[in-house]
Amino acid sequence: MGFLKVKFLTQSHRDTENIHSMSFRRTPESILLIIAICTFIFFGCSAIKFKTELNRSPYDWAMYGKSPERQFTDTSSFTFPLSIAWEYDASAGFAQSPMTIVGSTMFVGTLQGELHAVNLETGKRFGYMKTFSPVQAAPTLFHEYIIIATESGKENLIAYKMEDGEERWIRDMGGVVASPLVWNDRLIVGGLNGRLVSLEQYGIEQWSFNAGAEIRSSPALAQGIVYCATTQGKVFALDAATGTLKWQSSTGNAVYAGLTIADSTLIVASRDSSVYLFDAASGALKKKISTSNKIMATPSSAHSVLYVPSLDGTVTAYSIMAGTILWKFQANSVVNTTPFITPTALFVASLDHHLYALDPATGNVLWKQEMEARIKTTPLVWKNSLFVAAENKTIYCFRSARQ
Amino acid sequence: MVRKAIISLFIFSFQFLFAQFYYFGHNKVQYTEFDWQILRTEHFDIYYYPEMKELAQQGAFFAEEAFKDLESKFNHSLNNRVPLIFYSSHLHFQQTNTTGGFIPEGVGGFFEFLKGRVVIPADGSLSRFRHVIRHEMVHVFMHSKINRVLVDHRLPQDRMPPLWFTEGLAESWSTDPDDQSEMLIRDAVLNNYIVPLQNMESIYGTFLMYKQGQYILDYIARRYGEDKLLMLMENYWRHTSFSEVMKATIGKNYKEFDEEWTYAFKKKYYPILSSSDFTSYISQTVVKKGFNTKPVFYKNGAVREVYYIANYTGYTSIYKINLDAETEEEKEPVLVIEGEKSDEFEAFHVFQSKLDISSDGTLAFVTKKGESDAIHLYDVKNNNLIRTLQFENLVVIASPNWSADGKKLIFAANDKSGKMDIYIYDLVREEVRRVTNDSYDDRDPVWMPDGSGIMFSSDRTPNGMKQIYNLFRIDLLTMNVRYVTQGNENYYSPSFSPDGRYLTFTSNYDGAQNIWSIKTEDLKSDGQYAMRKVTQFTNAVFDPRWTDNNELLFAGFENYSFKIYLLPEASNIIDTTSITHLFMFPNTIASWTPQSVAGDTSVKFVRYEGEYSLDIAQSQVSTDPVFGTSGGAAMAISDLLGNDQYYFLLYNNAQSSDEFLESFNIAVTRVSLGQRMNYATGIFHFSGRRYDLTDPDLFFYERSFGGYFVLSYPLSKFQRVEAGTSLSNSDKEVFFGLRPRKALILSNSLSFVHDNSLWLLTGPIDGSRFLFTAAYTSDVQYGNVGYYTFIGDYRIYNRIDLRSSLASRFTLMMNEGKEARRFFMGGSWDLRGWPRWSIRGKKLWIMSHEFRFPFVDQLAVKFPFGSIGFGSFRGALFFDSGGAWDNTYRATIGSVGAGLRWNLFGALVLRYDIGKRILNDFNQFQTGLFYQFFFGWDF
Repeated sequence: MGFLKVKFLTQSHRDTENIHSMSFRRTPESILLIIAICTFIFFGCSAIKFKTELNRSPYDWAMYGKSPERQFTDTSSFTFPLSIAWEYDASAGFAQSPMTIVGSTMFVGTLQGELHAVNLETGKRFGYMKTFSPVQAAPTLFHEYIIIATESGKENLIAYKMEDGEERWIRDMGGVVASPLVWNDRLIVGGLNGRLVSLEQYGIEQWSFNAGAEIRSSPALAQGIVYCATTQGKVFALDAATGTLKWQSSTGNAVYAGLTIADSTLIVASRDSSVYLFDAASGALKKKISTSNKIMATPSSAHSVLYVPSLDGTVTAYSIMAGTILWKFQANSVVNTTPFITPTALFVASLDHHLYALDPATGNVLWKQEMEARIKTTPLVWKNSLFVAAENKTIYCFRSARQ
Repeated sequence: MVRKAIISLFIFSFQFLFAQFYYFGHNKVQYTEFDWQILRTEHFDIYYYPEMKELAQQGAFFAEEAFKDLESKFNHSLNNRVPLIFYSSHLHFQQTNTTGGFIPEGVGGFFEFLKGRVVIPADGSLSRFRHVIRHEMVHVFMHSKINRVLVDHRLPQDRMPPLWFTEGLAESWSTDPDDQSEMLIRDAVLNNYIVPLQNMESIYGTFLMYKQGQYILDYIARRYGEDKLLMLMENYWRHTSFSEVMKATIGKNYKEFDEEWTYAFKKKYYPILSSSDFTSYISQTVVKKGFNTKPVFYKNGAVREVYYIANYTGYTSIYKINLDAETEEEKEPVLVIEGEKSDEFEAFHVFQSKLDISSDGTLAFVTKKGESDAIHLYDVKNNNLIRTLQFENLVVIASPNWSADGKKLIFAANDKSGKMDIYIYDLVREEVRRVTNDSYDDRDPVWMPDGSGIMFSSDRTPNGMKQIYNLFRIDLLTMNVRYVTQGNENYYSPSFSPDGRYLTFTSNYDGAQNIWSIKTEDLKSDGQYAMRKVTQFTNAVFDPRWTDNNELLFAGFENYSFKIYLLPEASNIIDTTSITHLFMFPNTIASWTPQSVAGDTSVKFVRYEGEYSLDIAQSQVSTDPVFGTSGGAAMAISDLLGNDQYYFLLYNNAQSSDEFLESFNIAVTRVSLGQRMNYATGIFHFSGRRYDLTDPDLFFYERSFGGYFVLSYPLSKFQRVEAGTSLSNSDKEVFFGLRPRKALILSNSLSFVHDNSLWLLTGPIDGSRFLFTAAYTSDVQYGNVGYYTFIGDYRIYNRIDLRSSLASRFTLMMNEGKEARRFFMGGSWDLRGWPRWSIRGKKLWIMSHEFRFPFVDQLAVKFPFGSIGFGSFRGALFFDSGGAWDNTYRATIGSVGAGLRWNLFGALVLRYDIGKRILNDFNQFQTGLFYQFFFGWDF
């Protein structure tokens, strides 16, 4: 449990700085104007600068997929129906995984190029900053930094120190859309420049590997081996400590979906509508599962069951060992987000405006909620709360109605 | 245009003088009264009429199928239901009111994003219907996807990717490269007119641009990965330049990528030249100029003639040419039937319908005539039209073919249900008999030499839904249909040699569409026989027909033009060719079953009752030094099919608070276009200070209110009758001491309008236009007003060559009676050189003659940093004369000079004239020159 301080700079504060830097003639009118503006800022905006404590907990979702294996599981239980506890209007679009949760704070990256800090209990924003380029990857907590990866521009991997909100180090990765991974005090990031790099706390590169094509798929790690895949369909396994190539293989098409590891198996979902199950240690192809359509989101796994979302609106549960279909759920439109696993429900979001809670064992619908807009972000669970970001630029917090 | 005329009538119903600039135009005729129904599926509202219910159910299946597939391709879905408006034929589609413009022959459907409507006709082929539905749905998804990408990044939704990308993707994701696209791209590469992305604007909107776009995107998918097509849209927010979007996505901008793909295309197609040649190198070119297709041979006495469809002037017509001509004069095509100028021959279907001539010299051909197509029988010996055949329930007709005795015709036709089948017409009994009746696309029928059956091309093959056509024959006794060719290639246009020994046809069996042949005696074999390759061209050829001298006539596409060619010694080539293909027919060959939502209980059927939504809403505040400040709003709504439109106008021009209530100006108009008889009706209240242009001394306040009703009945595409009546109460207070005037004005008018003009960029160049209007306006309560109106306006355009013409206008306008209004003229639109609207009178005449010609075809200015293109300029030499008077004729005046016209973005013509005014009854030229700059189309 750490003690972290957060400082966020509001846009209006920046504007104020600009105003201060302008040269005013000291006429009575200009002095009155400055006083009026300052009064407005001090009393009109509430989140210019403040400190809060981030109490780390086992529920924390500090990186994409929660763990380096990217299994998208949580132990929280839900009693249905759920109801909306609060809504937060971010006023900007979201990528596939915009949210990270630490303590009682949700960090939200937007396609407008912003980072919001939202109080989990109230749904109120208490911090905000501009990143100046769209945030595609999930914000990642790394030591005392919040790591923001952005899609374009030259400053596309930025570490902000949470104590003061200041930018501490920056790297140019040619754009980053794959969510970074934290392992043993290291940050491992795949970039659109085709490089997978391992960085230490201060952003100093420990090793770098050239994958030869864009890395849009979030890497995964288990047993000291880090795995990445490229838009050319290649899959690489590297020693996470040294960056040494241990094995490589390929799929039939580009890999956009993040990698996941379960039961010593590396699971790679490709745009060739297949899921490849590799032996995580040797790279041997254990099984190739042909699915009904392209896969753009990371499959999730728990208890030797793999849940595969597909662009034809299906979510299919496979036995990892046998590769057989256990059940299949059909939504009314595309499912391009990762099914989130809890003991009581598998949460699935679809472009058909619905959020579904499925029985993980049977695929039967336990509960569903029609939303105002399409949902193309992966739902996230934290301590009996379910968070969903919808296309209407709003984040919804659901809790059990009977809680 | 009827709509435009009606709206114009609404706006200008009280000021006939303005109407001179608005009253012409072709008519979009609602020949057919459609009983619209709605079929509701999961994602679509499909609008159809009862005759085509089966087709609508099939289209619904294709639409839902496309929806599912495109959701996955775009990684996106749609928030709203998509209105899909189906027509069972292109002729019905041309009557749609969902767009105000005319729909040319080549338009296969469109997506209109204001209401999100998709409008699609069938043409008899379910596979093409499916293709067009998918094509338009790609547009719908792309529109939604791009907007979503921009919204997510909080950017204005004010742009879309370039047309080559949007149309290219629509093709790439809706169909595989087919014969036509392969023909075009191969020809463009081999003849060096393939256009780099950097210059794509030069072929904007053309079929070549669509197909290049498709091939380029297919290349990107193969070379860089199909996901890059999606990423081009996902990355669209990054740059306003699509070249930079490409750079961000595939690592190359337009310039860099042009080098790559053009090289790849050359590498693919250049090797073809090692084994085949262009048609013009091997065959004799019969017709060298213009666009030519569908040839047929006839020996007219001793003269060997070829009849064919061609377009040399902008009007598509039938021409003939002497096959044995020796002099240049004899080699000139002779016009036989002039099309697209008259009601009788309103339009030819140039790619769809062949010609045929009977042994006694009767040419059978098809044109659109009113509501449906007609078969015309024309005696080529005596040059007269013998007969015109139209059939109830048959909308589109194609490729009539004579029986050997000249007593029967077979043809393909599309009925109101949208099915394209084969029919026989007995000219003696005057009976029509349907030969096939199914959902397959049957086309190009010809009689078997012994008259026992019919040979035709059809997609009733296992891969028919992939647009694969084979040849079939049907026995007219047993009605048994048998394969003649069989394979996953296309076989079209069967034709028998005069002696019946050879069947020739076109096929793309081994690449380009060439002529192949089967010996007729081989057809008697049920097991296997060979087809033999007759031509080995790099380019595609069409519609082979035999002459009397062992020659084959055909149309060929080479170097971006269609020409007629002749191949001699055809039978020798067939008998000696080494390129053959053996057909081995299995015992049974399955065809395909049309898919449909019929039987799906989730599908609902309801009657269309009119669904209205907003088209436009606009508010405005303006300030005028004389008339003060006024503010208001205008709004238009219409139903989904565009048949009923409402216009609302509201503004207030009060100059003080106590005038507020009485200064409301309100007008409400309803325009109804759903039936052939179009009408507009409305009410209005206008009040405020007015300045009468026709009587410059009058500055007055007027309050008027009333209503009006206008009818427009199109007799055909080219002619219509219009009638209007209005009743308004007018209280007029003339300032500066004159007495107030009250009137209850009733105005009635009747007009006849004719227009078959053909336009170039700046105005008409061929055809004629005519208007006659008679009207009477009277004050039925106080007798303060009472005058007659007569307007006659005739304009004729005599073509001198392809792009030049001599235009003449003769106009007479008269208002006679109490408080008769004045007409006016002067300015760039009529009497050039004179101040605009400076010549006024209750009677007025104008006569203009103008020579219109191309002046500069392309003007480009090069700078060190780039170049700017200005397009083409047209020139004019003109002579105007006219006069205006009230009671006594004043003087004849005129002008003479020259001018330049420049079309700006297709919507606005800028005009600059220099000349001399002619004064005093043509006795004197002005001193010096006048210079006049204005805008507007040529008269």
